[in-house]
Amino acid sequence: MISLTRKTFLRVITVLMLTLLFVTASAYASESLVVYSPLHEEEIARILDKFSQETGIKAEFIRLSAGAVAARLIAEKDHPMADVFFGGSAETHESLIGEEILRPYQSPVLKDIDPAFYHPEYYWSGFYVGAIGFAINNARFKEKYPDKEYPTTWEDLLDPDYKGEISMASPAASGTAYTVVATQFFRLGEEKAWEYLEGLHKNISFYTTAGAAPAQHAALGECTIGIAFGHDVMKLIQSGYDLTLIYPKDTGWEVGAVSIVKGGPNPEAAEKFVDWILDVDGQQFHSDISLRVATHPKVVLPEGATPISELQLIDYDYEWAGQNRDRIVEEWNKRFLD
Amino acid sequence: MSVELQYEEKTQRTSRFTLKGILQDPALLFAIAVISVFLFLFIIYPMLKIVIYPSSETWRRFFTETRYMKILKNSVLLAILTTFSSTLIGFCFAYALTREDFPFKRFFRATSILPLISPPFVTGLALILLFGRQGLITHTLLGLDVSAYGLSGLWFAQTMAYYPVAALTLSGVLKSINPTLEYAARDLGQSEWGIFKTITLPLITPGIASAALLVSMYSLSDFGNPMVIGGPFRVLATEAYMQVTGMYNLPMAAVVSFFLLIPSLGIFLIQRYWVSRKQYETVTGKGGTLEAPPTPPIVKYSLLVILSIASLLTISIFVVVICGAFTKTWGVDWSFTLANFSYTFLSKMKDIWNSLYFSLLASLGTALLATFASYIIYRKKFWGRNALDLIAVLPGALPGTMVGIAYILAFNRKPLLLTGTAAIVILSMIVRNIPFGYRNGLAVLHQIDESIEESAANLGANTLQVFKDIILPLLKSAFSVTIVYTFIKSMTTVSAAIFLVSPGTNIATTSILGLSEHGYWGQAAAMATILIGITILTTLLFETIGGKEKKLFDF
Repeated sequence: MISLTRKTFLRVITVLMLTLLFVTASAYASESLVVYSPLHEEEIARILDKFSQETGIKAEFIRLSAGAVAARLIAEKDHPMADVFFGGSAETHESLIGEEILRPYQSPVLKDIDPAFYHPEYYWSGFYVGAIGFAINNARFKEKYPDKEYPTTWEDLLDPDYKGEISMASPAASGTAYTVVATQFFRLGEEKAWEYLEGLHKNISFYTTAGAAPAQHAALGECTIGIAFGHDVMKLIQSGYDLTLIYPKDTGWEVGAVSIVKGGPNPEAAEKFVDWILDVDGQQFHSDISLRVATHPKVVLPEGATPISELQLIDYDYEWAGQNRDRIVEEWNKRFLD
Repeated sequence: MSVELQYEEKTQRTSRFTLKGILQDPALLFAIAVISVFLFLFIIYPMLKIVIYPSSETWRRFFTETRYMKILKNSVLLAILTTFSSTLIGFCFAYALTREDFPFKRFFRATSILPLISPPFVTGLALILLFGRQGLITHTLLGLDVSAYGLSGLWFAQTMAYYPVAALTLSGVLKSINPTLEYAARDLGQSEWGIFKTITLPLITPGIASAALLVSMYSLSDFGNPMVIGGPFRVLATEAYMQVTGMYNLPMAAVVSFFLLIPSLGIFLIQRYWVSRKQYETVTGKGGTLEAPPTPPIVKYSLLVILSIASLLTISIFVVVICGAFTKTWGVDWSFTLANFSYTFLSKMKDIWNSLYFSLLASLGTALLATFASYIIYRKKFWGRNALDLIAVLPGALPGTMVGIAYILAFNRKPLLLTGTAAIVILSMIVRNIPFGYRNGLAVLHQIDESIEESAANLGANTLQVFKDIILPLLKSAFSVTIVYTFIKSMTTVSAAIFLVSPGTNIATTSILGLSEHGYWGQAAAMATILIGITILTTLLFETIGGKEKKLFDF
């Protein structure tokens, strides 16, 4: 440690004060596009690099979970720091409209995209679609259930033999898990959905906080079956884990959206970014590195990804899901956490 | 100052500590003002924001729902268990490492620092990889099918994470015990146990209380370990985070995190009452020149066993992380790779530099502020002193999530516009570590007799001069421990920072959490390894600059 003579003591204080001042001042000077995103750290970095190369606009980002982005945008409402909310389920973007956080923007690219994938008043625009699947740890499944077939429907998961072997995130913490829960409502109706969730609850080891964690748990053998978005499972399979991905019949899905923050520091750059990521090149690049299915019809599906047309998707009403979210999660908490 | 006045002060010892005394010492007045403004602006004001922000309906809901009460109970149970085990192991380390004749001290000192250097979620991940259902030890070696998630795993992880905190606190106190006392007792015919009971134990009681208080507060507000390894065992700190991430419910998050304060306050009051009745002072100030007497063999060898087990576990955690950094895919493809590191060097170096830079500033700021505050608040009698004392230790009980949210709410508009700057990140680091530095200062001050300062004061020195020339040199072990601790803590902090970092002021830990949340364990481990490496190198550098006498790892 620095010996504490009077001189050094004063010097240290002076240096400290000056640096603090300098840091505070310099931090205001940023002129880059500011992006908040819940996508994977590495993906965001690569996408923004590509964007900067092609447009010359510098971009900086931080990765937070979708809920944390929402909470932060609400907290920063009086003094917005971000330009773009990039990625995450449309439901999360939807919930910010009422808070007057978002600015509608009608990108010229939207004329090529199915209106199901963007907000009618252009508050958010979808650039990918993801569906819920089962991640099955092959080795563990064969060891524990040598005589069983892999589960292919939601009902299969109710088998009492799977007690403590299924992993799912908590809808109170994760948007992915909320999609899973809401799927049951669209599939079975309110009353039967709760019955189904009660049954599923008996087999859950515990509820994770992160939406992608169940896939990781299956990969690491912490559980046999993990319920997560298919692209999160595909990533693990591509990095070498011994998993099988199964999309059940009538599965839930999300539209991954991008939106512009009202009053953000760089409104023009924000619009350029939205145009870029929605257009073919941007979507293709995103799709290739993330294995998510693009919303632009001209994007070529990356190897390993399942085309939407091959999935049996449930009729998922994100508006209903968004509006009923608080009520359903509240009830879910009461039933399964008390 | 006139001769008469000095004489008067000598005869009336307490006159300096009255209002009149304070007014005669503008330096003291200035010091109290600076400390009060800082503590109020950066601790009380954001907390008030947290209290005002939720509606009364939200408050009511917290009380009426049994779920929250159960989570509250869980938090308290975990805190009690962790406090007990961490303080016990921490004491073993501190005791062993302050004995002259204990073997392998350098080794044990080094390993006990390791848990502090690691970001908590990495420790949690390592525990899962070692002790989980597919764990290297539980599954591969022992053939068990047990889950590492839940209370026992969490208790274990927290114990491993916080025993160094207790050890650091206690060693500072143990070191300042004058060995002559032990010799005197031995000459008077006391047994070894008698010496321990009548001399060591009473002298370190304030230290043990400080350590236990600190550990329990860290346990309560711990966020990383419950996130990674808590599983079905839910605690308040993570519940607050879930309210934000899952429900976007800032008001309920504020309420939940506020209730972390209640058990902390309880602990605080117990400690205060207990310690205040057991104060001892070694009148000469700090240690003598005599060599400490030998440790009895039974004590020595039992300590050796305990320390070895703890160190072995710690090392295995780190081996797992480092191996993970060089492994292609953990558990599947064990081939060697450097790809994980090239990713960090290509796109993440800025975050690592930010971490380093912010942490250095935060550690200096914390050490100066906390040590100074401990001196002023402990030694000077002035109105509002008890309140300041309470405020100075409060941040230890505030979960990082709460600090993060509170800071966003409190500092997002003029004239207090700090969001988006590096300053807000650094300030959150400082505030969160003030309790440690403050308690450290107090623990040492307990043992310095007031007469030394009084002599200086009677010779005409004002408060700042007394602090600089007398207190700071005596507190230098507490001061340096605070620097190390804050630096390491800030290098590994995540829960508050995650709300406060912006593009451009991002730090390494938030990136690591992002990487590991999505299963890029290799890259996360590589980045964690680099972070740990830099932390070790920097602390060693501190140590080299300071020379051999003033070690930063001041065990």
